[in-house]
Amino acid sequence: MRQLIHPSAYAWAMNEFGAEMNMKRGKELRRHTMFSSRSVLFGVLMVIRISSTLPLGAEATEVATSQDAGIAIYWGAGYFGDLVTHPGIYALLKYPFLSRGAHQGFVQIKSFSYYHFQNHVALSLGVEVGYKATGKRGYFFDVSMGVGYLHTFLAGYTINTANTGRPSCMPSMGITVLGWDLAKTKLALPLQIHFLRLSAFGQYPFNRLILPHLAVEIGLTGTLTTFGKSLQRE
Amino acid sequence: MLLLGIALCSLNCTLEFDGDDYFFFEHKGADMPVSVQGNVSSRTFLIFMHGGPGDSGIMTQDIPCWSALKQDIAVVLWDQRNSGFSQGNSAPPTYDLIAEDLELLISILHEHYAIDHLFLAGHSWGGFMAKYYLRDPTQQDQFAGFIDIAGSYDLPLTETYVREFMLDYAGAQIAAGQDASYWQEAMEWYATTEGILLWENIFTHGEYAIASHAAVLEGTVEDYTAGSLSPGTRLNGSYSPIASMINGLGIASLLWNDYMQSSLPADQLGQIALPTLLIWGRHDGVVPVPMAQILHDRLGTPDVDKDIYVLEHSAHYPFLEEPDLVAARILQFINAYSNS
Repeated sequence: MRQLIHPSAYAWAMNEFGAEMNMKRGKELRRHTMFSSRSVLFGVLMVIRISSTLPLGAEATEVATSQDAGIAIYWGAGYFGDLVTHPGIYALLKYPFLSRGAHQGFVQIKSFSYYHFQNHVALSLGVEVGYKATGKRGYFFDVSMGVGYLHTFLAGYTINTANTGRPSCMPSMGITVLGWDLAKTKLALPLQIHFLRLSAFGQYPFNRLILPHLAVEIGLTGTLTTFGKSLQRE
Repeated sequence: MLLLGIALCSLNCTLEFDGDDYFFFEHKGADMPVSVQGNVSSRTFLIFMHGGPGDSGIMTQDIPCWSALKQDIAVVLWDQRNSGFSQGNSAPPTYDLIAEDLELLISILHEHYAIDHLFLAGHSWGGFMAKYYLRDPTQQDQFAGFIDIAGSYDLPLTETYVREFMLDYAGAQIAAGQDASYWQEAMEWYATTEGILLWENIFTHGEYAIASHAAVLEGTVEDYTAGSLSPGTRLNGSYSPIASMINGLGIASLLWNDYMQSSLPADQLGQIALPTLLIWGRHDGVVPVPMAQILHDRLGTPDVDKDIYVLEHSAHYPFLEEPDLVAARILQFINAYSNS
C-alpha cells in the first residue's frame, strides 16, 4: 500500500476523515467494511489524492492557488460549439468550495446558447459540480457534471406554431482537456485559458427519449471578485 | 444570453414561398421540417414520403434525382414525426397520426402556394403510408397521381419474398465459392428462423441483407443521402446525425413489429384508382420486385393508368442508384397526368 500511495496522500486522507489511525500499521482501515459508504468516499478521495503524486499534480505546498488567499468567485466565457460547428457562447460563474493546493472542488452556474441552422436555437441554464487539478506550471484539467434547464426554439420559419420553444431537462458533463492558469506563469495574470473543453449534455424529453448532444468549448476564466478575502480578514 | 437567443431565433423567420423554402409545422407534439424546392411557378408539386420508419426526406434534399425534377416542378421533402430531423415530444406515432400529419401538410401547401397538380410519392415505408392514406377515395381527389417507389403493402408476403431472395443469393454465393461457410450459415438461418423481419431478428437479417446488397448494389445508403449533402449543409446546416439516429431507433422500437406484421387488404388497395407509377429495382432484396406486379394487380387503377418501371441496375433505392432514369420517368408520368 505504501508503495502505491504517497505518504502525504495517506496522511491527508486520514486527516480528511478525522480518524485517529495508526498510519504505520493502518489498523483503522481494517475496521471499515469493504462496501461501507465511508470506505467508498475514502476510496474516491484517495484516488484524487493519489493523482497529486503524479507529474501533473506537483507538490501541493509549492502551488499556491489564488483562492488560497480568500474565497473567490470566478467568471468564465467563451465559444460554445454544439457538434463543434453550430456556433454559440457560454458564460459561467464558478465558486471553488474546496481548495487543497493543486486540487479544487468547485460548483458553477453556467448558461449557454447556440444556433443550429434550420434546426434549433438552444438556451440553457444549469449548475455543475466539478474537480480541477493544476500542475506547477499552471496547466490544468477539470471535470464537472450537473443538471440544468434547456429551452429549444425552432430555427426557421414556423407555419402553425408560435415557436415559444420546448422545455427540457438537461443532464450535463464536461472535461477541460487542457487549460492553462496564467496566474502561475511569469505573466501572473488572473486568467485561465480553457484551450479545449469537451462537453456532453442531454435533452429530455425529445420524442419521449433523451437526445445526447456533444459540444466543444474554448474560453477564459478569470477572477470576478474576492469578497470572501475581506470577509476572512474580518 | 436570452437576447442572443431571441435574436438568433429571429433569423430566417421570413419566408418568400418562392421555391427555396424551409419551414416547420407542428402537429400533436411533433415539430416537422419541410423543404419546398424547385419550380413553384409550374404549379405542380410532388410530396415525397421517406422510408424507414425513421429515415429522413430532408437528408435527400441534394440528391441528383430531386435536382433533375426541380427544374420542372416543386419537390416537397418532409421529415415525418419521430423521423430524421423532426423535433418535439411526439406522442407514440401511429399510422393514423402520420396520415393526419400528411393531411395537415397538404392543407398548408395549398394555403401558401398556388397548386394545380399535386402528386404523392412514397418510398418503402413511405409507400406503405401513402397507400394507407390513399385508401380513402376522398383523399385521392387531392392528387393527380401516385408514384410508389418500392413501397410495401403486405409485410408477411414481403417476408416470404425476402426469404426467397436471401436463400437464392446465399445459394449463388455458395455455388460460386464465395465465402461459402458464411453463406451456408445464412442459408440455415433463413431456412429455420420464423419472423426474419421482426425486431428480434432484424439485426441478424440486416447483416446478411447488407452483405447481399439488398438495399443498394454499391456502397451504403448513407453514401447517397448524407454523402450527397454539401459540406456546408453537413457542418452547419439542418443536418443532425445524432437526432436522426435517436429518432430512427425510437420510432423503429415503437412501430417496427406492428409494421412488419401489417398488410393493406387487397380490397382497400382496390379502392385506389389514382394514376399510379410503380418504380422498382430489379435487385431489390428489401421489397423484392415480384411485389411490384402483385401490387399492380391489386390496385383499382385502370390498366391504362398504371405502369411498372423496373430499373435493371438498382436494388431498393432506384431513385438514388439510377437517379437520371428515375427522374425522367417521373417527369414523363407527371407531364402525362398534369395535362390530362
